[in-house]
Amino acid sequence: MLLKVENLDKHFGGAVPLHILRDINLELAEREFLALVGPSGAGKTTLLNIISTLDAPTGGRVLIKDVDVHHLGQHALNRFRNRHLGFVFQDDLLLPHLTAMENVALPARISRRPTRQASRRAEELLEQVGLADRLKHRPGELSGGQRQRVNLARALVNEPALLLADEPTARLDQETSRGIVQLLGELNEQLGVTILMVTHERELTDRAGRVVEFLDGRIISDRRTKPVGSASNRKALQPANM
Amino acid sequence: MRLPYELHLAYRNLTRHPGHTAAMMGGLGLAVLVMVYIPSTMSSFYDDLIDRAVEQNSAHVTIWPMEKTRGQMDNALRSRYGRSAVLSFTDRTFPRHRNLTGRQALAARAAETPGVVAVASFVKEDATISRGNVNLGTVIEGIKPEQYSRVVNIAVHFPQNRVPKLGPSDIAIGFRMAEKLGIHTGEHVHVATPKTHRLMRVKAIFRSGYYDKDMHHGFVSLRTAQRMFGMGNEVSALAVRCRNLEEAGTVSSALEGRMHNKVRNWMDDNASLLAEIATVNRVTTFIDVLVALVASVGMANVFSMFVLNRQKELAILRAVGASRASLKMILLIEAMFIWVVGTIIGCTLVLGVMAYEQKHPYTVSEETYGIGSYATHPVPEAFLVACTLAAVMMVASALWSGRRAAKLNPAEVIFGR
Repeated sequence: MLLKVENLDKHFGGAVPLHILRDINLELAEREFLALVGPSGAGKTTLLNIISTLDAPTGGRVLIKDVDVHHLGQHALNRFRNRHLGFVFQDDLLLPHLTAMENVALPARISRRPTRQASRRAEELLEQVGLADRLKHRPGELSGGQRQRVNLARALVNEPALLLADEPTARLDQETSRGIVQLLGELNEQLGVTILMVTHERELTDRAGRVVEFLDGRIISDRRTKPVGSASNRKALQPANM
Repeated sequence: MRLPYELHLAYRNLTRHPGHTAAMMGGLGLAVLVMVYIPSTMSSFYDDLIDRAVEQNSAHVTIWPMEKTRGQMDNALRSRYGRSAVLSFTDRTFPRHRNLTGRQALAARAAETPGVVAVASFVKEDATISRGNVNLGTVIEGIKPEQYSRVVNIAVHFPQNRVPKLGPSDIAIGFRMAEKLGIHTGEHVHVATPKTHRLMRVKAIFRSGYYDKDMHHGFVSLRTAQRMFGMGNEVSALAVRCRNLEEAGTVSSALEGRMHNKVRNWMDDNASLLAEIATVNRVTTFIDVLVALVASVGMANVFSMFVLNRQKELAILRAVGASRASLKMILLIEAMFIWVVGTIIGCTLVLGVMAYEQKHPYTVSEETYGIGSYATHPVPEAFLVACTLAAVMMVASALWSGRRAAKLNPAEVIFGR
């Protein structure tokens, strides 16, 4: 199992204590595409942040590739996050002063890959997400959809075991959203990327093979809509036009 | 090429807002300018003062005859006649300035002392110079001009930078005395000592820069002085020149150990000036530290603003796996880059100011200071201290801000919780 969440709890103290997650148990196999759905404030993003190691749980544990990630030291955690996890956030979290290629290459550079190798890999990925002609553009010179595709390419540059996406189409128009949805689907089906995604989009939920519904910090349903992706050989994506 | 990404990001961060970066570099440059200029200008001023006081007006070390102190005589009497026999004793019979006997042997021993480069004997006694109704108390200094010039650079006070040859009836006087007596070169004055009274020709008029010396000093030949004061072949003292000023203390200690004479160096003679310099140095050090502190606070503020403005970017970096040490390293590289360029700007500016001053020196009161003008010259130590302080404050600012950056919780910044 790629991901195992065991008895996960998260609460905040203060005048009015908030219990965000209650005893969450979740497993995710390799090449699965899981969509977390639920109303706002249900705790989806908090769960994603804890799995992504950006936040710490109050109780329970998260195992990724059998590693209890929240018990790693700071240095090991940074390495783990860099090598095994890819993120796509709601906002396009790109560094504004770097070009698209530099943004994509950043996680590879952080993992101390040689500059040329990291740039080549970034170039390949940007080509795969249909941005071959935008390599030298800065985020400010790209559209929302293009920026989100740069985010996707950056998330994939270190070939992560798990891609975490938090409402990746929330701020995009319908047409652009469709392009991103298609791209994520292809990533899962053609490249076998394991995806855990928080979303409201019906279309994106349909694309996922498994849908987990959240309410008040609890999982209320877990249904599989498709069998786990059968792609065994990773192959290149067809550049999408967005 | 394995160029660390921290270096690349630091470079891109600095070049994204060239105006901000230039302002920081300029600010640091100004701080460096102040930190170099203040101690340099004070040091230049006091170097000129010491140069005038020591190199041109007195010897590095002077060997005087030993004066028996009252204590020594007192002790001798007490030991001879018993403690109760001596109630009070003042040695009034002993002359304040006894002549230096055996000067040639002493001069030879002094010349052999390590660090000594030249030795000259001289006579220094009080006399009166008069012309018409004007009488002036004067210190008459008997010298062998060539020999004495090798020890004290008095030549610069004379026209054409040359001490004239002084015949048996020749005297060189200061310009203020000449003005007071209303006399010119080639005219005569009366010189009276306790032993003689003679008419002497003014061979030259000098300008030492010291009011007292220019008003109350006269140079005659050593032989003439010995005759005027009935000293036979004796002299008042020996003037010694060391390899450099700093060696005077060591040389005077060595001389004291080798001969039973009173040895004084220029530091003893200029104790009050040195005390004043030490005070000024303390003040300039304080100003330097103050400037460094103010600049540090400014830089730390600018850096923390940097961090504040870039919180989201730093959080993104952390989210994609950058370590805390890497964030600190990025800020440190930026700080070092600003330091390098800032100090180059500061040092270039201060050298420019100094070059300007060489052409347009400051004017000061010659009567007060003995020098009419001075210009700041580069003091390597001041550059070293300023550049080091600038580096320390930049590193401290970067590390302080880096610590704050490293403490950022990426989730809090990215998701606004």
